[in-house]
Amino acid sequence: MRFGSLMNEPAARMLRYGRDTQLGWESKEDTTGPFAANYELVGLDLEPNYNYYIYGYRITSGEPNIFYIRWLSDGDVKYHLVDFPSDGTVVYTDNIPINEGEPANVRYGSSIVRIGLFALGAGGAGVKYGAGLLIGRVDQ
Amino acid sequence: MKISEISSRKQFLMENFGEEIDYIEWYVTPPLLGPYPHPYYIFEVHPVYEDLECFIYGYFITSTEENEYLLYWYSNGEPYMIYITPGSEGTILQTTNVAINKSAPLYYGDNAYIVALNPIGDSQLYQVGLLVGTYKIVK
Repeated sequence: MRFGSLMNEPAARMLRYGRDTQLGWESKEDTTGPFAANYELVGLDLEPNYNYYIYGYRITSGEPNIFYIRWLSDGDVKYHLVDFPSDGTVVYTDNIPINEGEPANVRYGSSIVRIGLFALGAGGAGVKYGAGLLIGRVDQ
Repeated sequence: MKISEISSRKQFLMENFGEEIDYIEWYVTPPLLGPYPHPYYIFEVHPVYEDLECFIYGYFITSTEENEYLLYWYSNGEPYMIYITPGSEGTILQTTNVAINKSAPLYYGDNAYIVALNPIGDSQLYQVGLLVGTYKIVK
């Protein structure tokens, strides 16, 4: 028997994340430029009838660039901008999601059906980029 | 949300933020593209009902140029402010589990602002926000 099974796991998640959700990192392999402006470095397809909360992100950029996370919340497009004035890495996580109050969700016929993390500027040839999104999903 | 989840959510907020807040939310502007004059009131948030008081638990500033900011709010009509000087362009995402305005919450009629103190340049991108916890006053 796992120790975890002796615990009240949903209650523990409620206390840790504020809702009964299992967090997971959405990642993909590093991207090497060149790529065009508004290139999606990582993203997640959304299913109807769920709210998705963004508990964190990681970005590695081998050159200055601007990044944005884009999602749809109740039909409105939302953005979170992250500026990299130089190359570097940022990992941000918190127990309050960056979209607390504006969860990502999708309706049938929505034009945007993903949470995506994009590079606003074009990626230079041979320059490495990496990105991830820490997502929790709950029933609507 | 089930009753047990509402109770757990309340406990989560209490354990993380110490005040008996009922609700917390990031209030964030859309991306803003300069130019704008200065001082520019980028952002405003306030309690929307008489029986609410608001606590500020974090701020978010992205700008593609260097600037200085004032987080400026009123509590019972009295002004309070803190300067935020990032020192360079970039992103600041700062949260705390003790409210920045713990001793001076916003009441109905009070506002909080983020003000850019220097001009916002042509084609410069900005986005700002505040993490606000709201407490429903029990009379």
